[in-house]
Amino acid sequence: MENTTPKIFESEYRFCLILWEKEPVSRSELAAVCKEKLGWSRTTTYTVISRLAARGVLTAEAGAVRSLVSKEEVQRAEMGDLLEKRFEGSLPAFIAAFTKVGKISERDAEEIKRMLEQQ
Amino acid sequence: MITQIFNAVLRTALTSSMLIAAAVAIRFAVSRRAPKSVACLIWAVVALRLALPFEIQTGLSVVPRPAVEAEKQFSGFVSGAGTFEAPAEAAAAAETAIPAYKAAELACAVWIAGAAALLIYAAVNVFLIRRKLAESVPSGGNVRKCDRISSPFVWGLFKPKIYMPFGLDPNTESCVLLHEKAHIKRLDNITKPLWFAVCAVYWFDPLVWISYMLFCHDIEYACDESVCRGKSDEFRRNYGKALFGYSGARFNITFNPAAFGELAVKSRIKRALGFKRAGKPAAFAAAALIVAAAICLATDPVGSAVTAVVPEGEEPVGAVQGPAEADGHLTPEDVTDYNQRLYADSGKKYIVIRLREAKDFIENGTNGKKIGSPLKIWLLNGGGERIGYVYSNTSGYARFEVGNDFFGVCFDGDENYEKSVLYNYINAETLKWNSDCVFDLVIADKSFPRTVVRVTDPNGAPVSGADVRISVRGDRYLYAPVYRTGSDGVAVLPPAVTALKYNFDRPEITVKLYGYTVTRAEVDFYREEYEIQLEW
Repeated sequence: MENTTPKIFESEYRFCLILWEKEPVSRSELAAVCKEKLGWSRTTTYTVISRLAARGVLTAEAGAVRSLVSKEEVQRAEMGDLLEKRFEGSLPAFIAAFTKVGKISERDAEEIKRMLEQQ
Repeated sequence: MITQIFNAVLRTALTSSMLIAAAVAIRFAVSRRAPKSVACLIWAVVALRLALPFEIQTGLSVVPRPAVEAEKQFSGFVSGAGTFEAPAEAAAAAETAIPAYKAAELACAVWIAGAAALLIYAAVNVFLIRRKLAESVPSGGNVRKCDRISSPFVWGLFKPKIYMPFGLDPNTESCVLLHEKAHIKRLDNITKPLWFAVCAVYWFDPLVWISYMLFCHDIEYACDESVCRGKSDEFRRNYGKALFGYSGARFNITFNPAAFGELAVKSRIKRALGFKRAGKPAAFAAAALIVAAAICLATDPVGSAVTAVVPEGEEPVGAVQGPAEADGHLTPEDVTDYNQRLYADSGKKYIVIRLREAKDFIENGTNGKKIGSPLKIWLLNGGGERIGYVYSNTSGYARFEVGNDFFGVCFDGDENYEKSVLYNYINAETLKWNSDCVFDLVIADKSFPRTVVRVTDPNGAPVSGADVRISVRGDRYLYAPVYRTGSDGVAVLPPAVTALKYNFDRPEITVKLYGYTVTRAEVDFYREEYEIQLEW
């Protein structure tokens, strides 16, 4: 499975969730939201913005921060990673593991399958 | 001031060593039987003993009275608590103390450098950890998760939060939470940095570091214990598994937050699995042991009166006990008698300096009061160089052993008293040691007028560079300290009364310039300004 989506760490993902919700958004406004929701200082937010910009996750040009990858892309990439690493790339094994612990319903499983086949 | 604190630290390190040794023994003795939460108290006792500058005296103390050691007491003038029973000790101290004072200052500098290095190390560590935690995200309650840490810990002094890495399995996460909450409840997030601060002060003392390490282990045990108390075997197995996940135990004595499962994992798992409800008798026995240790070892015997750090703003008091009887006063006969005994025994040379308050000295002579606040008295050699110092005791005496190059003492003055010198009255080489070795050093308080001498030439113009000294008439040794006039022709000398050795002396002012000498005999103790005209 092709994977060109940049790697995003957990705390960066929390930040991206806010970005996806608010974009396009100014740096200072983003900093204010992150302070409220994540307890981050302004400098921390700015550091993360520039780091993710360098990694190609977002762009912070012309005063507005915009994402370059969508939430779905990130989720798919993560799932693809998991599939490769833990289920030898086998989709049925992956879904079987989920259904066995009863964490997802038949319908959800079908949906996941459909989503992954769209790739 | 710094040297005084250093002395106090050294003294505390020495006097607390017995307590620490006992603490280690108690800790290992009770560790299997009594609850760890009780065992931890012993470290609180040790930390308090090290951190508190004053000493609590009880009749039950078994700590030996502070023995005199050159390292401990650079002032060199110490004997047993108010008695004359320890001349050999005092002599040994004095022997090494006088040449050792330079070494003392070096040691003090090394001590400060070491403590500063550790504090800087801690500050850098705090900075790095804070930077790591800046990008953590909230995870409900006081829990935050962070990408950049590998094991969970509590961080923050006043608003402690639990920081965890992402991706812990649910079992580990719940165990970790319980453990870290126990830390917060025990206030370990505050006590651990405080302990580290104690270590920074006593960095030269391995016993303190051992205490710190054992303390760090014991707080982990205590938290494991409070989590596992009354829980099922299954819970304990799970808890042990969670600990096992962090078994990358490393041996460190660094300044680190109370991290989950970094210390002594194997033995902790063993304890967690085999944890039995500690019996109440065992807990009481352990507590009793600790209280006993605190009373007998963390306090000082009554009358040891070793006070090193006095309330701020005051001149620190050296641990000095001189020839003083129980009531704090001593007649000259006592001193002489003591000296006779002493010299007969040891063949060593001792000098006793008696500090006399100027006004009282003029009025009452040698039988008056002594200055009871300890003052730093410098010892001078034949070349007038400072070769060491002693602190006077609360009875106004300073006693020390001297060599043949000893020629005098001086006092530099402080916020209460003017400076004073006693020089060349004391010639150690020629003194008769069995009688005449008590000398008065007259010290004037600040209300006493200084001697301001203005020197003019025959035309009345001010003369600069003239040597002015104040001494006693007929003094064979004209070695009183010299003061030079400035461009305004003025030299400011200490109060004339400080030139006195006996109250029937008459001091005089001598001015010297290019071999011309002018002496003025009528010197009044209470007069400040004098004008002396040179005649060519």
